[in-house]
Amino acid sequence: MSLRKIILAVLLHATATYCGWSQTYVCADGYVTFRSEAPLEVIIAESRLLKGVLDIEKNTFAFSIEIQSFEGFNSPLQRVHFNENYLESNRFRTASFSGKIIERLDFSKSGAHEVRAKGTFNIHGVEKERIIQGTLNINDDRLEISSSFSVLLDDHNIKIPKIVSQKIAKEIYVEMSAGLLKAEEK
Amino acid sequence: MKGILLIMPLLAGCYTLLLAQQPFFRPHPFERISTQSAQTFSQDSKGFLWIAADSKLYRYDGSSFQLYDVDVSQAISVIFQDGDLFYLGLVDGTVVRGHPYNSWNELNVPKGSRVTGMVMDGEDHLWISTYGGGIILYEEDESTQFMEEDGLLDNQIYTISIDSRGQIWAASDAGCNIISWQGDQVNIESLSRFDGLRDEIVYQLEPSGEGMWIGFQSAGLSHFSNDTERIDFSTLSWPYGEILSLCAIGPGRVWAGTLDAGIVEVDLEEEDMGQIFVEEGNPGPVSVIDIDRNENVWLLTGTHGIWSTFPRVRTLRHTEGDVQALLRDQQGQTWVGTQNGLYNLIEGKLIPFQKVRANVLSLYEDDNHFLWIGTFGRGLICLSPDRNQQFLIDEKDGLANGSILSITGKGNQLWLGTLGGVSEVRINSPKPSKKSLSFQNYDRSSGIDADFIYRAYRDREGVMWFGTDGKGVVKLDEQSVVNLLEEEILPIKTVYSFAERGTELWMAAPGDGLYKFAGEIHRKYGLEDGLTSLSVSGIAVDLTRLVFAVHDEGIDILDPDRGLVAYLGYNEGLDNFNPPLGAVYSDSSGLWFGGQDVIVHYQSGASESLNYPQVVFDDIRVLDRPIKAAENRFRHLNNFITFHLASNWLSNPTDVTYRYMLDGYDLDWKSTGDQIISYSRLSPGSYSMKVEAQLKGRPVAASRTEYRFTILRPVWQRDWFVGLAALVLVGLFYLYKKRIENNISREAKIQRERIESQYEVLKAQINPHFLFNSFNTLANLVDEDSELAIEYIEKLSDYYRSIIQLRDQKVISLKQEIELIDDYTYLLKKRFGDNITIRNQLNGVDGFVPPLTIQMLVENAVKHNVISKRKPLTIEIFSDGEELVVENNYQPKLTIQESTNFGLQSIKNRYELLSKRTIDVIQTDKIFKVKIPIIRKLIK
Repeated sequence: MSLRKIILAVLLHATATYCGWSQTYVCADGYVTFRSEAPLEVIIAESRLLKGVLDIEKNTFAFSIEIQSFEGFNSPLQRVHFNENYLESNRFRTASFSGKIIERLDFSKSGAHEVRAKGTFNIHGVEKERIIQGTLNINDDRLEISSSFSVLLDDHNIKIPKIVSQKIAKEIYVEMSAGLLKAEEK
Repeated sequence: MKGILLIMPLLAGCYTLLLAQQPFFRPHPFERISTQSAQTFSQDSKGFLWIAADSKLYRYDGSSFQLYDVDVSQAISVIFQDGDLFYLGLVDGTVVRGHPYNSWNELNVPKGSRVTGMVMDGEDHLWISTYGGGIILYEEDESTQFMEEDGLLDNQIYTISIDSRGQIWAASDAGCNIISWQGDQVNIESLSRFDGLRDEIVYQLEPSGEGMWIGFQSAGLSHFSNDTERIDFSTLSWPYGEILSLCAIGPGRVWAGTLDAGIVEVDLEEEDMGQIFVEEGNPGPVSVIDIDRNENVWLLTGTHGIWSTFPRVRTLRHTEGDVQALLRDQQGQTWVGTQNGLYNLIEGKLIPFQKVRANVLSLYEDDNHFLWIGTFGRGLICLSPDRNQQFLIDEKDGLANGSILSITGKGNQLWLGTLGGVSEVRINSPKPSKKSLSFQNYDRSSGIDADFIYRAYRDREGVMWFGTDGKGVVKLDEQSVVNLLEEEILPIKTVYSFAERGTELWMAAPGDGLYKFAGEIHRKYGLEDGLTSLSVSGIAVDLTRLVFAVHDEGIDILDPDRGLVAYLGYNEGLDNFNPPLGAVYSDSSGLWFGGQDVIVHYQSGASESLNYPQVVFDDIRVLDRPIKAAENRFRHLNNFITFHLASNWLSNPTDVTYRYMLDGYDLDWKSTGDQIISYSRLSPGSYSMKVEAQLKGRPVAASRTEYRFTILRPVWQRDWFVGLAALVLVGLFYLYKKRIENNISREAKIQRERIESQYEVLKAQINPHFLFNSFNTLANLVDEDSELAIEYIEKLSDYYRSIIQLRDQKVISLKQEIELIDDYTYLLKKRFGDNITIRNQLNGVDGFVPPLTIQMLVENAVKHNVISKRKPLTIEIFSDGEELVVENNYQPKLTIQESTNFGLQSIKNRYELLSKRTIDVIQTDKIFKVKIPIIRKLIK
């Protein structure tokens, strides 16, 4: 079973049952944006279709996003290139990050915490183990997660033709935020 | 870890960057190392560096990388060495054990997760950490796996280490596990954030002498003390990011290799830390740091490859001119004098001390912390302890000369070496001023017969020494002034500098090298002793009694007791060193040297620590076949032997050459720059190949290695074979000789017997009795029948002739014997008539008998028996096949005939000698019978 399937299964399981376990938080509204700052061009795109779950007892999480849900870009053609040439979103539909939270937090108390999430980061079908730092804000039943990190295109075998390398940065800055709600029992 | 209180009393909060002086990094280009591959390295017991890149294993001797075959398909993630045995951990969890020169075996361990570390405990248990599979304990082909359910904090272990107590440490995302065991009982404890660890994620562990360094993902590093079982040091703020590697580089000192901030050095005692860059502005991830036994530190960095450095030597490059004077004062301030002025060394920078503007040649701090500054041409400046007030003294005030090359002193006394002789200054007030000083100058008339005094030196006994330019060394004590050159005690003309080493006084004599002076004895140290240059301008002795010679090309470190010299030069960043005045300053931290645009700091080791190269036989081949371990006896045709040499002088491999001597072949040492030495057509014998490393052509005796071997003689030349052959030959010869001797002695016996028998026979035949009887018979015959008498005489004469003819022979044919018997019978018949009957039935029988055998037996019968008419004697002579028989009726004479018993005995003896058969004598009441074997063949 590939990791992608596992994530999918976790997601499906969590959302389908959408119930049950008080220790499970599900992403209600998620947002991801990335920025490429190349010498000749700055490209920005965003998506609000981030999905995710967080199990506060096991301290595990799984997030994923459809590549094709990203919008923005400087032109529609750029978006086509992004999907077809660079990220091959037909073959590799999602980007995902799943793993565990390093810090052991007391979720019964409200407050903001700097946390590190360690897990498998998958873009373009290439997995890489990452430790990504972020902020986790506990606010009663709602958890807010935000993080900014960067992704190296080399790490994920995303190939940019030389001719456009001045327009696309090798390191892409990513910012994300998500609000998670406790999965309530029906 | 329950019950352990964690306190962090010593927190490095602010960093003063004492470590502003940077060590010099030397690149070791190796194209096989790429940022993509799994890489690691390790140093073996012989000093070679082993580097893994992907699934390949390379050995590095400082100048070349040699590939060693390891038959693994996966990338090597860990190299671990236990003595000569190598363990390689692979990314798929496989562990192989073996030796690069021999073969590898796979260990029986659970696979699947990348091996991240290996350690061996005191009881030969191999502990393997994996990333995902926890920890594996391997012992005697059995492995035990420890996972989260056994008490581990996490199954993903970043690294494993062992502390000085023998406890195993494992680093993971949730802290450390500390594993101890007693017998079969394994005890797993944890040290995590809940126990006060400053970070959850522990990336690196490095044993210190008394505890463990813990490197975190984000919180820097902490030190755990075994003594107190507590964290006794932590970095409070850590702007340097992830720690990828850790290496203890000295007591209380550690280097942390970071992801993007270079190396961070942390000093526990100084509570200080600072960044070190391999290349300025281009840090790159430092993934591996290791220290070799020569205290070189080796790095693997993602963007730079392999680098080495000697961190005990740090240099500070600057642009403030030649450093002519150096001093670290009681307050810890470092003062630097150059031709451009006076500077303070603050945070790695030379900050001009604006109050003093002069070409500074010398610096001295007196007991009251006043700083005395000798200038070039402008006299002496005194700076108050708060460094705010100063005054200047020059020739007008009584100083011998305004150019002061050196200052020394004690209490309220100063000695100045100037370009115009020596000035002795007395400070007559605790707060010196111009007026409170008095001077006594020693010029040419005083006995110090020189103008240029390079150095005034006060030894521990209070004796003053002056190094002059061309006029030798002058010694001044309370009684006298002695010029050691004039008194022919010390043949040095010019001395720049002095240093004491125990009771020895060492001197730097430019152009000459170093001199050691003890009492009246001196010894010179020059190029032949290993010095790199003779233009020595400065000299110093550190706390470990090593002697430092400062010269144009760097610094030589001399260990006079062991005859070793180390050289700090271009490899340590000391190119174009050119120290103008040999400025040296020593304090508790080590030594400071001033050169052209550079200040060098040498941190002394804990003890005399000069190292030397070790030579190893990399490979020994006989007829191009690598020898097996411990093989040292070769057959005589295997006499073409090749030695492949290697040395581990990673510090400076190009300085190493070899000298060698094959004992048993070479008469003297030979030098070579090659690493391969061959000998062909060695004759059989015992040999001993001795090889020593030479540093800059100078043999290092302690580096010697030796291989003894024997070329065996060919079988036919071997002692045992020769011995055996000789033995066989001797045996054969002995047998042959014995046989000859036997034959000879038998021959001699036969001869003797024969002569004796002849004698007896003759004696018998010519005994008067026989003759009388014969003549009597003859007389009767003459009367009766003269013709018969003639016949009788003829027969008698025939008989005697036969005896004479036959007596010399060993054997005669039966025919001859029978003829003789016939003659004898005729004679007897004529004498005894019918009283005797001799029936000879031997006609036609072939064979041989000793001569006169039968005759003697017949004679015996006649001699011993009664022969009368009434008792006729019948003698039968016949053969019963194998034997001759002479038989007569037994009728012994009553009067016992005088008998020598010779006849029969003689026959017996002769037969024994001639053949193995014996004669039989049968005697009954009636008959007397003798059986004699017939000799069928003649013995030649």
